[in-house]
Amino acid sequence: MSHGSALFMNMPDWKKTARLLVLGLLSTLLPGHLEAEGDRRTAPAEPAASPNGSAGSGQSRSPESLRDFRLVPSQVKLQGKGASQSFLVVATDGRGLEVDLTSESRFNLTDGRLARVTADGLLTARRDGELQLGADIAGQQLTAAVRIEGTDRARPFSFARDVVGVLTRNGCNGSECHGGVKGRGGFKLSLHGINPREDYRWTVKGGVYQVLSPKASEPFNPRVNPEEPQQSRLLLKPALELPHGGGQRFERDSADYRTLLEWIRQGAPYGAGRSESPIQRLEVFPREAVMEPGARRRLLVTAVLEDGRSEDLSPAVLYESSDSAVVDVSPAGVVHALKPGQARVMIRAAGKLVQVRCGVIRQPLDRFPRVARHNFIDEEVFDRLRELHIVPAGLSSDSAFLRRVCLDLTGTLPPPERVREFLADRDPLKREHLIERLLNSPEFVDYWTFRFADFFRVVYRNAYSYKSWIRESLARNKPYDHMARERVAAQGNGGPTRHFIKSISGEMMRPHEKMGEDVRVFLGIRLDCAQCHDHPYETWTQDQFWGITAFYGQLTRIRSLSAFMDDISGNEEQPEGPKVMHPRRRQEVAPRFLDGSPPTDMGGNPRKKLADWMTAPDNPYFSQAIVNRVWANFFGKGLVEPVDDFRPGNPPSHPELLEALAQDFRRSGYDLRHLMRAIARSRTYQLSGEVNSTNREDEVNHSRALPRRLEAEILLDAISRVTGIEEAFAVHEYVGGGTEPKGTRAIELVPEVTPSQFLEVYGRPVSRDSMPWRDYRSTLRQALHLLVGSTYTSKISAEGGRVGRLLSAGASDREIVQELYLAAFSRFPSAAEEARLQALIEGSPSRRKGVENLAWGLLASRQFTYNH
Amino acid sequence: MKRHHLNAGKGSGSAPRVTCCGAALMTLLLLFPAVAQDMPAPEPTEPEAHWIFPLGGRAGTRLKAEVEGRLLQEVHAVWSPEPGLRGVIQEVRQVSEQIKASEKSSYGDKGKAPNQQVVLELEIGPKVPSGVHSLHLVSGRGISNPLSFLVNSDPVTEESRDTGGVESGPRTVRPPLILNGRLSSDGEVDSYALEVTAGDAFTFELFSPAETFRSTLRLFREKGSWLQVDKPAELEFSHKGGYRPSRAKHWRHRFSRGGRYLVAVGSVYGRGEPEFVYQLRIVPAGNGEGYRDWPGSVGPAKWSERQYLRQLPPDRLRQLWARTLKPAGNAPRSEAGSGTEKGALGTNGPQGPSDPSSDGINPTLAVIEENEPNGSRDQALAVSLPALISGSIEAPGDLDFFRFRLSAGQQVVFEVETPKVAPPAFSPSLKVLDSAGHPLFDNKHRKIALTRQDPIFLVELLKLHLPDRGTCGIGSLAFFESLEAKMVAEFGVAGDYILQVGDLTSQQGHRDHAYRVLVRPHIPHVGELDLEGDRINLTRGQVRKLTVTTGLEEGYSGQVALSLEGLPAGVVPLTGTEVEPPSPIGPTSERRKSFLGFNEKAVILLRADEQAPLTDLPVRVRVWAQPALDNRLGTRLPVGEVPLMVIGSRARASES
Repeated sequence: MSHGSALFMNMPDWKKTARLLVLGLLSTLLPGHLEAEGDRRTAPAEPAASPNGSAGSGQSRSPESLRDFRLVPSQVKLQGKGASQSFLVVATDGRGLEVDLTSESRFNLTDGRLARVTADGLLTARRDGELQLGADIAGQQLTAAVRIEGTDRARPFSFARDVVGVLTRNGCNGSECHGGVKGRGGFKLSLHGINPREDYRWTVKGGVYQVLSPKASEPFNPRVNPEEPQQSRLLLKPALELPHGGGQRFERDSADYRTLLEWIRQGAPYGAGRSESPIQRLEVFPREAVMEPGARRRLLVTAVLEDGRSEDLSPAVLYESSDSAVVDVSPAGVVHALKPGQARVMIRAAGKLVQVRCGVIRQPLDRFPRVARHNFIDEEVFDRLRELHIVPAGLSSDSAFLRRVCLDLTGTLPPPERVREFLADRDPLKREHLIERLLNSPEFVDYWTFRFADFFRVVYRNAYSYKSWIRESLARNKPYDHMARERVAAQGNGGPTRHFIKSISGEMMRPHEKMGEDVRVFLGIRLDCAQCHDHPYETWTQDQFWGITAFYGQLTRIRSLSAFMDDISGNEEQPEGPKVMHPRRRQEVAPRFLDGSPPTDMGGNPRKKLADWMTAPDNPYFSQAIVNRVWANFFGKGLVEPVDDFRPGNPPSHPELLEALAQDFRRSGYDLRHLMRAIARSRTYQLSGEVNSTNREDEVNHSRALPRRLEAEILLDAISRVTGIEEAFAVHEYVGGGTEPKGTRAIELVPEVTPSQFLEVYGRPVSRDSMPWRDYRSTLRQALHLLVGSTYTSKISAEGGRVGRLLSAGASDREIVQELYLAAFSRFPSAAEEARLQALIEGSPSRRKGVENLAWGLLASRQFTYNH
Repeated sequence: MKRHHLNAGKGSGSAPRVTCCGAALMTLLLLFPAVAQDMPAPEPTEPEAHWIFPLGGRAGTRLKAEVEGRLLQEVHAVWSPEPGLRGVIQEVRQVSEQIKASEKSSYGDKGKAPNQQVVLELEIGPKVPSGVHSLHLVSGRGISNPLSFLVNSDPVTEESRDTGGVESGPRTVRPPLILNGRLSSDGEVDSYALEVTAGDAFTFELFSPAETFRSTLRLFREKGSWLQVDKPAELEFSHKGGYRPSRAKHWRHRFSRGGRYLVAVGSVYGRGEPEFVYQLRIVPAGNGEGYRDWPGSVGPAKWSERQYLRQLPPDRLRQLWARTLKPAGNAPRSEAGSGTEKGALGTNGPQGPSDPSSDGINPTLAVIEENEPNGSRDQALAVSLPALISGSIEAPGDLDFFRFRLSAGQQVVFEVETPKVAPPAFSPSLKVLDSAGHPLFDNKHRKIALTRQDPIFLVELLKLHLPDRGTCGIGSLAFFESLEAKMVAEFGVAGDYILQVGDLTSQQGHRDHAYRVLVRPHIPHVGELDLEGDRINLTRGQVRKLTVTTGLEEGYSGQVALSLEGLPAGVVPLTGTEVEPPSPIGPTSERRKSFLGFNEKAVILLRADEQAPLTDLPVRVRVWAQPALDNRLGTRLPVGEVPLMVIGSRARASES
C-alpha cells in the first residue's frame, strides 16, 4: 500500500467521503469549463470551417479558386559552369493558404541552347546569355528572367561552402558527432561548420582536442591524403570503407563523395574569399508555411555570397524539424505536414542557419472573425493567428480577468469585497482603471521584488541591502536600463554590489561567474559553456567568453569595508593592475564586447563601459531579454523559451512581436510599468481560456489563456489569504533560528534562510546561489500534502480563520459558499454549484465539518491552484 | 617593562606555520559560528550583566530599569564612573531557566538561562552629558562588566509592553522623542504610529549595543491598500550607514502625503533575543544628528591613530610631539627651516625627529581649502609641507590633485580624516603620483593571506573563501585588502609629486563626503594605548593581571613607562612578565611599515594584601603612560581607567 493510501485510510470515513465528494464536484470546474459559462457576449462566434477543410489531404482545391500565381524566384543570375537554380510555382487558394504547384506545372525556356530545365523546375546553365523560364499552370503563364554568365569556367572553389556543406548535409558536424565539444574519434569539427578555418586545419593538418592547454599531447592525424586521395580518411570513413562509429554517411561515387575527392585531388585548398566563408547568409522561401495535414511544401534555400551574388543551395543543406510529429522534412527540403501544431524547420549550411516557421492547421477557415484589437500586441498576435487560421478565444469574464491580473501584477488574490465591487462596476474602462491601481499598489512592489529577487539572485549573504535596492528601484519605477547599469557597474558597498557575493560562503564571485550571470540576466544569453571551449550549440567562442570577462577582471573587494572597486591604475606592487588570463593560451585577455569590438577608452570603471554597451539602444538583446522575461510572467512562457537562452538556434515564437515590445519598451524609457501596462491591457492577455475547434492544439500562439500553476510562494500566500490564517515561517538555525515576523509573506522570504516543506514540495528553489530553476511538475508529495498536509488542514480549521469567522458571524450556507468562492476563485458560484455545495454542507456530520470540507475542496481544485 | 617587537613585517619572512593554522582556525570559526557556539563556555566567577532595559533616559529624570545576568544574587549597588548617574537596587529575582536553546546570549552560554533579574531605580542627574555611559552592578563578589546606558536630552519614552506587529494597535508617538524598546522574542516587531502632515521630514535613528542585533526599520502607511485593506502598506526609506557609533543606523524620510504612518522596528529574519534592546530617536530632519554626533562612549577622549573619524586639528603636529621626546643631542636640521622653498619637511629621516617649533615649523597649521578646478594633474594646487588640506568629493568621479615638492630620502606621512561621512559610505582613496603621473603609493593595504608555502590542505580550505582576485590556489597569492587612514611613504628621489584624493569608487560623491588630509614629516611617537579588561575584582591575598598594549608608531624606538593612580590601600602593583605571545594571528602584510605600527604588551600584576580593606564600591584606577627616551621621561598620556574592587576570599570561594 502506498503512503498516500495509508494516510487516506487513516482519515475518518465521513471525511474521506466528503472530501472525495467535494473534489468530485469541483474537479469538473476546470478553467475552460468556467470560461464557457462566463461572459459569452465577448467571445467571437465559433469559426466557420471551410467546406474543403475536411479534405485533410491538403491537395483538395479547385483550379478556379486559385489566385496570386508566382514563379519563385522571378529573376536570377547564374554564374559558372554547371550553375543551377530550382524554381517553385506557388499560388493562394480560396481559403488563403499558399500552395505549392511546382509538380503540377509545365516548364519551358525561351532559348533551350542556354540552359535546360527539368520537370520539377531545376534549371541548369549551359551557355552565357539571357533567357526566360516559363511555367504553365491552370491556364496561367508565369515567367522568370534568367541571366547566365561565366559558363566557360568552373565556379570558384570554397572549403567553407563546398566541403563544409557536405559535412553539414551529412550530419558529420552535428553536436552528436564530430561537432560535439570534444569531437569524436579524434576528429573535431566546429558545430555545423561555424568555424570553417578551424575545420580546415583539423581536416588537412589534424589536431588534438585540449581545453586548457595550447600544447598538443598526441600527434596530429590529417584526414586527407594528398598522395593517395582515395585513401583519405575523410572519404574512407563516411563511405564505410573503414569502420566508422557514425555509420555510412554517403556512398562511394555519390555526389558528395566526388565533391570531396575532387577537392583533395586539387590539393585540398581552402579557396578564395575575403572572409572565412563566402556565404554571408542564407535565405529561404517560404519563411513561413501554413499547411493542412497531409500537405507538402518544397523549400528553396538561397545563399547570399560575400560578393553580393546568390546561389541556390537547396539540395546542399541540412534540414531538421523541431517537432517531427507535426512536420517532417526530407533531405531534399520537402516539408510534409503531419498533424495540427507548430514547428520550425531549421536549415544549416556552412555555419549559417535559417528557419521556416510551419503551422499545420486543422482546417482552413473561409471567414476569419473580426476580433477587436486593443494595442500593438494584438496586431502582432492576431495577424499571426489569422495566418494560421486559428480563431482566438473570446474576452475573459470580468472575474477571470480580475483574478488573473491581480495574480500577475501583484501575486495577490483580490479580497471578496473587491471582487464584488469590481463585478458590480459598470464603467467600461474599469479594467484599465484596475490595471493602474494594481501597478501603483504596494503589492506590486512586493511581488516584483520577489520576481527580481529570483533572477537577480538575492541570497542569504546579500539579501538585506541588495533586496532593498531592488525594492526601492521598483517602487520608484527606476528605468530598467538604469538598474542594469547600476548592477553591472556597481562599486562601493551599496545594494547593487551585493550580488557579487555568493550565498553560503560569502566569497566574492570570480570574474567569469559575474560576467556569466550579468550576460544571462541582462542579455538572456548563456555563455557559460564557452568558458572552457567554444559553445557547443552556438556561435559563442572561448575568446568571446574571456574577452567579455576581462571587463570584470579588475574588480577587487576591500574586505575591511566590504566594498568593491576597480583596481585599474596599479601601483608599485602591481604596476599594470590585475589581469584576466586566457586559460588555454596563458595570455592576458583584453576586454572586448561580445560583438568583438574593444572599448574605446579603458579609463575609469571598465564595467561601466560594458554596462553602456549592454544597455545601448542598438544592442538587440538587452530590451528583448527583459520584455521576454516580463512576458513570461504574464503568459507562463516567454516568446523565447527558456527565457535566458537567446540564440539563433532557439528563435522567438513571435520575432516581430518581441521586437515590437522591445521597441516600445525602449521608447518608454525602459519603463517596466509601461511594459506591463501594455501587456495587461492587450486583448491577447485578456482572452479567456475557452477552447474552440481551431485553437485546441495551440499552445504557442496565444489564441487563448493557458492555465499556469501558481508558484509555490504565491500558492502558499493565496492559501493563507483564503483561510485567513497567516503562515509562521521558521528561520534556519544557522542564521540564529527563530521566526519571521507575523504577517511575513512567502514572497518576502530568502529560500536558504527559511526552510519550508510546503514551499519545497511545490517547487521553490532551495537556493538562489545559481540561477534558480522552479519545478512546476505535479508530484506525489504534493498530492499527499494536499490531502493531509497541515498547511491545508490546520489553516482551514484554525480559530480566527475565515471559516470560523463566517460560522460565528451566523452566515447562511449560501453566504458561506459565496464568500469562499469569491475569496478563492474571485467569482460568484453558479446557481447549480450553490445548490450542490449547500447540499453537501447539509449532509455533513456537522455544519463546521461541511464548511471545512468545502473550503478544502476549493483550495484543492485546479481552479484555485492555477492562474487561468 | 618587557618589550618585544613583532617583526613579521620586517622582511624576516619567518611567518611561522602557526600563523597559517591560526588563520585557518579563525576562518573556520568565522565560517562556522556554530563550532564556536558549541564550545562550552566557562562558568562565570564574577557578576555578569547581559542587558539593561530601558537602554537610556533623559538627563534630570528618574526611571525604573531591569538588568539581567548571572551571579547577581547579592548585588547591592549600582555604580558608574559618571557621578551624576546613580541607582538603587530594588529587587533581585530569579528568572526561569526554561529558555530555548536559540535564545542564546552574546556571552555564549547556549542553552543556559541567565539566572537573575535585578530591578533598580536610576537617577540621571541634570548635568549628566548626553552620550553612552557605563553602568555596573556591585556585589560582594565584585563588580560586573559595564552595561551601556544612554543619556539623552530629548524626551524619552519606553516601549509599551504589549506592542505588537504593525497590525496590532501600535501606540501613537509625537516627535521629537526617543523610544526605548526591545525585541526579546523571535518574530517580534515593535511599531509606533506617527501623525504627519504633507512635507514633514523626519530623521529616524536606531541605536543598540547588542552586536548581534541586525536591526531593520520599516515605514508603513497605516491605511491599507486596495488589495489588503487591513494590512499597512510599506513605503520606502532612504537608509544610510557608516556613521559612528557603528551600532547606530540612520534613516531619513520626507512624507509627501499627510496622514497616519507606522514605524516598525524589527530584526533581520525576525530574530529576537533578550539583549536586543534599542533606542529609536525620531526628530524633525535637521534637528540635530543624534547618535552620529556622539563619541563612542563618554569618558576621556582616546588617542586614535587610524580611525577615519579621528580629528586632525591644526595642532595635530603639537599633539604628536606630545607623544614623544626629542632625542638627546638633537641632531642638526638637515634642510631649510620651513621646508617650503626647497621642499623639505623639517628634520626627519635618519637623523631622528625634532620638535617642529624648534625647527621653525609652526605646529599649528593653517587649513588649506581645496580650490576647484583641481581635477587634473595640470590643475593641481601647489601646497607647502607640512600641510593640512581640506576638501570634499562632491560628485561621482571627482578627483582633487595637490602638488608638493620633496627632497631626496624623505619619509612622509599621509593621514586622512573623514569628518562627516566615514567609510564605507565615503571611502577616501589617496594616491601619490610622480610628476609624470605614474602611481607610486596608495592607501590600499594588501595583507597576504596565502602563499605558495602553505600546506595544500590549507590552500584547499581557504581558497574557497579568499579568492578576491580569482587567482587563489596553490602557487598563488590571495589577499585581504583594507583602505587605510594613514600611510607612510619614503621618497628616494627629490622632485615634485602629486597627491590625488578621490573616492574608492567612481560612483559616489556628495558635499558631505569631506576629507581632511595631513601631509607631514614622520614623527616617531607613542600611538594608541589600550587597557585590557573592563573591571578588576581582586581577592585578598591574590594577584590579578592588568595588561597594557602600547602602539609604537613611525619607528618610535624608545620605551614607555607606565604608572597607576588611585589604587586602594593594601593593593600594590608589581611588574610582570609574560611569555611572548605567538606572532599575530591572521594575514601577514606586504607593506607593513607603510600602514601599521608595532605593538608592545606590558603586564602589571596587582596584588592585594591579606589585610587589605575590602571595598564596598569600586575605586577608579587610572593608568598612565610616558614616553621614555635616552633616560628621560616625556609627557604623561592617559591609557584608561578601570574600576577595581577588593573582595574577600570567602566571596571568591563561594563563587566556585
